[in-house]
Amino acid sequence: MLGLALANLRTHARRFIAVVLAVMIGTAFLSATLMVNASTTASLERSVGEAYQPAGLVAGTEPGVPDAGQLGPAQLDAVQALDGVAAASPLFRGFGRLQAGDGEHNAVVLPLADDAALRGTVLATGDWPGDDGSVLLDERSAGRLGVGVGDRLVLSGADPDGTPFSLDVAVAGLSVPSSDPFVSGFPQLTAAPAVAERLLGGDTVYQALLMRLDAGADPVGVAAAAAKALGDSGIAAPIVQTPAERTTQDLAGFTGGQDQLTIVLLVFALVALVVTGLVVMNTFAVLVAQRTRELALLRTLGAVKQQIRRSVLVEALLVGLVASGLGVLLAIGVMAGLVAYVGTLPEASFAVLAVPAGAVLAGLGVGTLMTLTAAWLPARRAMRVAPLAALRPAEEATAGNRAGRFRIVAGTVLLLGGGALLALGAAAAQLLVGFAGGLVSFTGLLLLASVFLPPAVRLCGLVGGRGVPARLASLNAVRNPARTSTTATALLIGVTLVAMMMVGAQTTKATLEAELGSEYLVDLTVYDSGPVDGAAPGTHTGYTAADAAALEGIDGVASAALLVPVAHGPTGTPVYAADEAALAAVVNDPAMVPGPGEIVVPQHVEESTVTVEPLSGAVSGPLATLTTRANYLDPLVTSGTAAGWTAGLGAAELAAQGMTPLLWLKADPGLDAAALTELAAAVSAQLGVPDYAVSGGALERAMFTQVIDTLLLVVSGLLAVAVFIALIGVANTLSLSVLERTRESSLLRALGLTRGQLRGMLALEAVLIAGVAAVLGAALGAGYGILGAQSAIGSFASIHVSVPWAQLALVLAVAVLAALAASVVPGRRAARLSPVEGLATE
Amino acid sequence: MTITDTSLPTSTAAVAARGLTKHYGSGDTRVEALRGVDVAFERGRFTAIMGPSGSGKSTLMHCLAGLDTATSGEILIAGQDITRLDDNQLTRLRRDTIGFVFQSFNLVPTLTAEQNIVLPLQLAGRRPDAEWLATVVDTLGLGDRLGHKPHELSGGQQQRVAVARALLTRPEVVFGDEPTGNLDTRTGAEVLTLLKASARDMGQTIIMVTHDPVAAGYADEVLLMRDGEIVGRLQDPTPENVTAALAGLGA
Repeated sequence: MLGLALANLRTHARRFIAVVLAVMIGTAFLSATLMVNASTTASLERSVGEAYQPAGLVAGTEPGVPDAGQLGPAQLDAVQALDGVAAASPLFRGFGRLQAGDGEHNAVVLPLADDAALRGTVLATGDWPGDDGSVLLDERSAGRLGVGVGDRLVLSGADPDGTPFSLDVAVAGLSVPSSDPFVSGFPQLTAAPAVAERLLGGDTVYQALLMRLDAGADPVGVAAAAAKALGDSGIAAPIVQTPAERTTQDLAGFTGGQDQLTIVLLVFALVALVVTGLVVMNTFAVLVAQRTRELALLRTLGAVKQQIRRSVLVEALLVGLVASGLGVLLAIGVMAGLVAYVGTLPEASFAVLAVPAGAVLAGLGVGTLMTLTAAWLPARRAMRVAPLAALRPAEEATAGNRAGRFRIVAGTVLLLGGGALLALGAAAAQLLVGFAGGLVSFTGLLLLASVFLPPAVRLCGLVGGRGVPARLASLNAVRNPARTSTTATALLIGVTLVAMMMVGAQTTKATLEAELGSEYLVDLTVYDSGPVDGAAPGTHTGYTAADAAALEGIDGVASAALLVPVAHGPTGTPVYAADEAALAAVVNDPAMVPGPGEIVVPQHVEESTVTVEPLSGAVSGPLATLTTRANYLDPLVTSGTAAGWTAGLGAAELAAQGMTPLLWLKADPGLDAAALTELAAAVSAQLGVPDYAVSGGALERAMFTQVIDTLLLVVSGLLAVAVFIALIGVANTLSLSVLERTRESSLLRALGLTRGQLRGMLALEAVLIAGVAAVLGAALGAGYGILGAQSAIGSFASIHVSVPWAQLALVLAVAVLAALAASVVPGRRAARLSPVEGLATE
Repeated sequence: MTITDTSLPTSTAAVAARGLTKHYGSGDTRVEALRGVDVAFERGRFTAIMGPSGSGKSTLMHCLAGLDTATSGEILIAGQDITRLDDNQLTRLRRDTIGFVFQSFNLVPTLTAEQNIVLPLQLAGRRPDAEWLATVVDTLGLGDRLGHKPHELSGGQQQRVAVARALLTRPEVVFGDEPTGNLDTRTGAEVLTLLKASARDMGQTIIMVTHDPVAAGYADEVLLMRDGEIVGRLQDPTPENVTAALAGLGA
């Protein structure tokens, strides 16, 4: 049977291209995921361990033990004094501000070990620093900052009492940049331990002590002695390890998060593999159907049923092995490219590619097994071919759709149960319950796919067109409901998940935006920062209307309002007043613009009216409260309401009472976090106030939006793999169906169907299947996305449903266009065949 | 039994060919399927083309019907030279002026009998003439089978649907490619009788390729072919004289 399988693969190699492609991509996804994990670990091992490498032993404190003690100079002296220890050196990182190039930069300062053999820093050019006044700078930063050997730098920090200090140092030499992930993003200075210690900015605490042992010293003995010495010097939980042991220990701190990333990626790989499995199943089902007569002939000639099944499974095995082998190679290629790219980034120069045997074996094993499993049902069908089928003319009847009763019942139960669970999760805002409900109900839907997909396709076919090609296309699209269901299901899974993420993200964004709009009434607030240095006492009066007008001239500022203090509120906080029109222009929630006689108050005020004490001493009547969701907000009224409240008081008198105005700003919509930060800087520069005087909700909102958008992009990218595989499946099903219908196409051509009509018919067939799957997927995804968002964030926000129509339309367009593209090759092949050849084909 | 001259005036014929040749392959593998065939088929006649396997009878029919392209020569259908037409023009010609009845796989499996019958008209965007449709369906005894899919019909019924489809467009000519090859004797006789009647009563030109002397006996005339050439013509054939003529060819 191996010979037969090989002959089939050779003869019909083209029919396997799509299935090999699908399995390859699915397997590559899985392998690459596992390689991401291994490569990250390997990269960290290399970089985290770098500093420990020169040492014979590394002393530290037990991680995770409270009050384990802190390493300091006393402990360094203690281990240095031990027998067998030739030299010891502390390991730590000081941080300072470096003035070089065009400005100030955060820099890390590493201590230079006195003992040359314990130095982790590698000198590239120049000399080692000879005294406290000279340092090494890493080559990369030197190049970036335009610093050379012999140049002078200013390094500044603060002493423990907060007194700032500056050190003028000379660059003695340049070092090879470190790949330690904690260090590699900064300019790296290496200086005498005393200098580095001063930049610790407080207590002198070491991360670890590196020890060089005397030649011939027993490491185990020295380690025990060192642990004892540390214990004696006040360390409750000392631990002395080899550099390798210490690296492994440090890594354990990182990999917790790493494993989660792997799990998330594996989920997406699983989705891709499920979709791949559907494509494989369909391909083999079609291949077996096409080969019915051949299989029957084999049966007639004496092949037993099991041999037939084996021949199909051997084919699947070979296809699976080859395809998953290619997939693993693809994964290695992609990962190598990624690592090479990441390695060029300064903060990740330590990246190395690791190809663990596990990733290769898992890829090969899972890919092959998945192919075999998916081919199992078609192989069973092949086994059931009766010998007589060889003698009968090929069965041209449409295949019946016998969704098993079990399947229907199970699907319905799962759908209803899962739906109820999902509704419960959404109602109670329980993410886990909602997630489980979604998973169960979607599984139910997939089981029922063969019940609702073909009728849906048929229904759309009725709308599709009246012409003969259109009618034939819709009939053909459902002539084999099982095949149509499987093809469409593969696409349905991908599109549903993509649409769910899109709608979920959009709804979450809209909800959070509404939430923040109410919580943060304005985008940016500029607080009064007090008198400028050197100003005469009593001359500081704060912001003026002119300042507000000037701010409106800044690019990115939509409008600005000046808020003037007018009264003391119930709790003693100042009450501000502003022009109603100006307020309406800056406040994000239109409902929170106070009218005459109204006062805007923070969340905790429960009274429906409050009274305030105007600064002029006048008496105000009760004011109706407008309660915002803001926690911190000075009460606010309109200038009209506050008329006369500051009568007789000038700005200087108010300032003398500590009552100075604020500025509220509205930023142009759509600015991202970076643009907003820049805007805040421009505002503070315009007013001549420090950066910290400008704050507000816009920055926070922009961060949220950015995080959600980034997540959506990543997730959509991962799911796009599944959609892509499903589209390969559409092309595959279509081209196999075309092969199967060669004679029929030729008959139609003989009867007067033009080449163009034939191609159009196939294109429409593909578009029908893909379009229905995509539309249903988008609708389902929208539902799941909204319910999912409700489950996830419904507990602290009321959901604002928002559907990203443009994105969904894009998904539909991609599906339809891809289906059109998928029909091109089969269509050309079918149209190229002359009617005579086609009719002669057996 | 008389073997007459094959040359006939071609101007009034429904279908005619002049100097028709068809080669397959080249060099050593070159096969000459047709070697300069001159032939004309008069309107309203039922002609059978016979000959041993490889004599070129199917190739001749495929070329005449515009299913295959000739290497040289011209083919006139209703006075129009079809060898000059491009694929789309040929397709329209087949749709509008030619009917087909094949040996097997005559019907589109997804369509009902009625949909199959009206298919060429619909492809042409025309409405079937209801009266004519009723006549054809009645004549062929398909009245109660119109809603069935092909796999629900017997072989004879399927061929009758194919004949109905061929006749419905009132084509210039109906080509039959072994139309009774897959049928039992009685059903085959039924179909042949129908074809003969449509030639006689409806004036339909019919050209049929067959192996079977009994089937050929229903025709008005038999063309005999050997090695890509027409080698004889037999008027008012009977199974017996056809068999004898074939035996003569094979000798």
